[in-house]
This record gives sequence, structure tokens and C-alpha cells, in this order.
Amino acid sequence: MSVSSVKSGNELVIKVSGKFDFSCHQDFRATYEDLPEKPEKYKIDLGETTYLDSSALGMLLLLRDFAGGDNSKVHIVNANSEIKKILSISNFEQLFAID
Amino acid sequence: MNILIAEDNFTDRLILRKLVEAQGHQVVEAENGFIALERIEESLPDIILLDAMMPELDGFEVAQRVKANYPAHYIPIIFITSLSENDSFVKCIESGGDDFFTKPFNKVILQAKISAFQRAKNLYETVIKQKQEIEFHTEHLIQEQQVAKKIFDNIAHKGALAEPYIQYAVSPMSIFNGDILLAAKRPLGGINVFLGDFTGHGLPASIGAMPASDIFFGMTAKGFELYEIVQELNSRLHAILPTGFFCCGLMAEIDFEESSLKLWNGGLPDAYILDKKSGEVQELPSNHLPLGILSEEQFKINLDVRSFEHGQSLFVYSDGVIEAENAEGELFGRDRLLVALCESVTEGRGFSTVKKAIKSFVGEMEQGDDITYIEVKNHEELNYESFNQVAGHFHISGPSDSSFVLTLGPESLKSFNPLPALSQHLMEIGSLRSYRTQVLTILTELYSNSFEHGVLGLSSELKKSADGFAEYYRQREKRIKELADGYVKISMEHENIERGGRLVIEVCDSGDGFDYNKLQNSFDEKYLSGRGYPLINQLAESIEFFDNGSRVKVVYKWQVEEV
Repeated sequence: MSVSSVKSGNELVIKVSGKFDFSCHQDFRATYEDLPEKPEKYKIDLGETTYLDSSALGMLLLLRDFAGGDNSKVHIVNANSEIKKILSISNFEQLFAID
Repeated sequence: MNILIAEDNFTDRLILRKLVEAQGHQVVEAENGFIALERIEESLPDIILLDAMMPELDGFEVAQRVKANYPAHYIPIIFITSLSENDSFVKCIESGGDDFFTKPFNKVILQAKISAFQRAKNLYETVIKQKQEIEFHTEHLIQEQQVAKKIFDNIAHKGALAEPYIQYAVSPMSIFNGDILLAAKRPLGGINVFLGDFTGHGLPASIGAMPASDIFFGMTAKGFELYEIVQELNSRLHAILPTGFFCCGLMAEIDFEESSLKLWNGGLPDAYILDKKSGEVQELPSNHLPLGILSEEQFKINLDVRSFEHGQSLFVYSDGVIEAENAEGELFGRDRLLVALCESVTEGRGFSTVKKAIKSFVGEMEQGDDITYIEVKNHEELNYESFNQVAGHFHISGPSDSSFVLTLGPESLKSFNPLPALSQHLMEIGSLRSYRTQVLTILTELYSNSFEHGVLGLSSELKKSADGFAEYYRQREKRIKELADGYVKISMEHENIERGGRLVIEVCDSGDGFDYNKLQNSFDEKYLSGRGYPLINQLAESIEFFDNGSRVKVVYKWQVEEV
């Protein structure tokens, strides 16, 4: 598993490769917590994510909370059908824009 | 450090002594093997300088015995040999030696070797100390967890899981279970079931289960509705769980008598209704966010209402079932589960088929997640059993002559269920507690008739057909949303009679009433025809209708036998 991020303009793109689970916790938080300028938008690229568990869902919730809760703009993209299914069972489309 | 020099040659011994003392260490001398062992027993040295060739007992023997007798200690042994004794190098190492020191004696080399072993010894001792600390803490932690587990078990009791029509499986990964499975009988018949899957594992996952369990059992016993219990659970978990922690769950309210099932699924995989007669498998998907994420204001409930009849059963499971792994790293998966369920649906053996399938798939593999699943079969509930009088103690506590009137306007009717509060008040009357079920039945019937038929204008005909219940419920929800006026007024008067009491309950509503004359003729029948006014007629002393049928007065008398 690896977490990387790129900031372009006012958007932060975070990419998680491999298994998105508890071991990503530190790295995931580090991508957004201490930036000199807080981004306005966030994009989570799950294109190379093979697996997502409940701690990953928790990390997404933490990010959303940091990004402003109901006023946040967090977009989850490139999820494969397995991952999309996991997200939809938990009804996360009620909180995140998911493609 | 304390260094033992075992050397039979006096001169060599003296030289070595000087060299070692010059480095600041203490020396103990021994001129042969036996004396060396004696000295070692008196006081364990830190390092041993050992001459291989000694009389009585040679160095190889000494080395072997030291290694054998003190296995828990690290006592480096430096053999003293001369270069010509080549074969003995191997024997030195084999008998337990750690190093050699050859003649002619070189001060710098000896001191370097001693220093190196001193560093090694420090390292060894540090590791041993840390190991002991870790063992101590681990032992402590395990004890704490065991105590916490006992507390937890007292709160999260199984409730009604032991009922004959329920089969369930729980296989926790650790002492604590991140999955929680609860079942409780509802006071007026039927059952509530809850399967919750808290994020994480072990103790942190289980802490949330304690208030959840309390709320579930407490509110079920008080007669709260499914949506009220789910709302309260969400509010409580939202308040106590940190951001990022939540509980995926499914709660079902089954009414065997009305053959209906109300379900809330937030985050668990699809549950299923299995029909033995038709072989059908209905899906009950999750359409809510898990518990603890949304605030009270944002939390909206859309219950799934289905008919639930004889021959049908409800199958609920946590994602641990889907993610169960076999030795090849494959997941059990939704497909295998469906196959197992469909295979045996007409025989009604869903639970045991799934159990076998999981067991043979997983084999001996240790699981990474709790595996929890439950099947609840529909069955004939013999409700009238619970209506029998229960002998109770005679209490003097509580109100002895009281009355109150409660009027509910449209806003209250929409969002407030007065029954738990009313029944709570009545239960304060000590001597009435034994008749709890009967009184609650009467109150519930009177209130729902007034509210649903009187104020909302729903017809009970709809409830009689199989899918009619779901349609009735849909219409009920619609009319509640649109409710703009109307009222239900409940008044209760209580007076003490010797060893018992008399309760007069009057309920009236703003509706059009009904033709109660027709009803009163059927009261002569002596059977309990399920719910409704005939039942009240059986339980109470009298039931009377007034105005156009929109006002009902019930007199209930009770007496307690002294025990």
C-alpha cells in the first residue's frame, strides 16, 4: 500500500495504491494535515486501490471532517466496481461525490 | 566487572590478573577445573578466562558445565590456549567457548576482547529487562481485558437469542467482539433483532457496544418503536464515537401475529428473506449510512416494511462472512453465500447450509474478521400465554390516587409516541406491575385505533391481506406527513382498592367514529381473535363507546394475591 499526493492549484489529489487499510492511517493523514495552504477541493484517486475496509472508510470520514464536514468538497474517483460496491453498501454517496 | 581466571600455571595466572586489573576489573582466581566451578557457584562471574589444559577437570568440561548449569545467564568464556594446540580450537567452540586468547599474551588484544564482551553483555541484559517489562505489561493488559469482558457480558446479554426459532453464529477474533448480536422480545409480542458491526476490532470496537446494548434492551422493553430505537442509537453513538468510527448495523422488528417485518439497514450487506414455500429469496439492501456518522438533525429513516409469514425466515450477516478467507487467500464472497442459501431454501435449512459452506471453505484458516450471522424463522406466537395473571408481591409504593389528561395535537401525533411514557407512569403504581402486559396491550390498542383509524382515517381492512400490511404502512406514513389537524386525548384515573386498584382509561379522537353496535355483538364470542376491541373486552372489566364511536372508556380492575 502506498499513499501519494499532488497539489494543483486549490485542489489536493490523494492517490492510494494497493490495500487501503489501517496501515495507511499515518500516511493518509500526513498528506492533508499540515499543508501551508489549505486546499479548497480534494480528489481521492482509487484507481489503483485493490481493497478498502472499514478503517479506510473511517479515514475518508476524518478527511471530510477536516475539509469542512457538510461544506467540504471531496470527490472520490476511479473506484473499481468492487470498491464502488463497498462504498454503496455504506451509502457513502450521501456524503461524497463518487464516480 | 568480575572476571574469573581459571589457569593452573601460576605465572600465567599472575600475568593475566595484572592485565585484567589494569583495565579496572575485579579478579577471582582458580587453579583447576573443580575450584573454578566452586568459585562460579559462590558468585557468578561476568566473564571467564579459561585455560583449556588444567589438571583435575579441564577447561572443556568446565565450559560445558557452565553452559548447562546457567542457561539463563550470559557468561562469555574466553579460552586461553597456545597457538600450537590447533585441534583444540574446534573443541573450545564446541564445548561452549565464545572466543580465544593465545600466548604470547597481548595486553591490547585482551582488553579489546573483554570490552567487546562487556558491550555484548550490556546489550543482552537490556534485552532481558525489556522482555520482562513487555511480559509484565502484556499480562496486565490481558487481565484488564478479561475483567472488562465480564462487565461487557453482563450488559450485552444474549436476550432472546436462545429462542427455538432463532439460530445464530458468533466467532470473535479476540476476547472482545467488534460484532454485536442482540435479540429482545417485545412486550406485546414479537421480537427485535440487532446485528451491529463496529469499526475496528477488540476492546475499542466493543466499547461502543455497551451503550448500544443498553439502549436496545431498555427501549425494546419499554415498548418503543423501531425507528425510535434506531434514532436514539445513532444519536448516542454520534455523541460518543470519535470521527471516523461508526457502527454498520441492521435492526429488525418482527411481529409474528401481524406477519410483518420492519427493517432498518445501515451499512450491512443485503439481508435476505427466505421463503420455504416459493423458494424465493428477497433482498433487503442497506440504504442508510452506518450509525454514529450523522447528527440527530441529519439522520433520516426510511424503513423497509415487508410481510413476513409462516414458512419465511430472515437471514442477516456481517461482512466477516463475505470476507472469510481460505488457505489460498480467496474470499468466501457473496456468490457462495447466495448459492448456499438458495440451495436449501425450500428445505428451510438456510442456517446450517451456510454454516457448513463456510466451515469447509475456510478449513483451519485463522480469520481476520468476526464472523456473525443469524436466521430468525417465522413461527406461530402464542400471544395469549402472556396475558395470564402473574401473582406478584403486594407493593404499597407509588401513586395511589392520581389522574391526568394528555392531549396530542397534529405536531405531537406526527413525531411523538406517548405509549412508553404512559406505560412508564402506570408502572410506578407498584401493584400494577404484574399486569404490565395487559395494561400496555389495552393502551396500545386504544391509542393506535384512535390515531390510525380516527385521526388518520385508515381502514383496518387493508391489514388483512398478505402484502396489505406494507401498503397500510406506506399510507400511514403518507398521512402522518400530511397531517394538519386533529387530536387524540387520553385521560387516566387511578384509585386504590384493597390489595389492588381500579384504572379508568378514556381515549377520544377528532375522527368520525364507527358503528360500534355491530362490534358489541361479537363480544359474546369467547375466543381471543388477535388484536382489537374484542381482546380488550376480554382483558378489562368493561369497555364502552360514546359519541359516534370516537370516545372509548375502559375500566380495568386488578388485585394482587399476597405471596
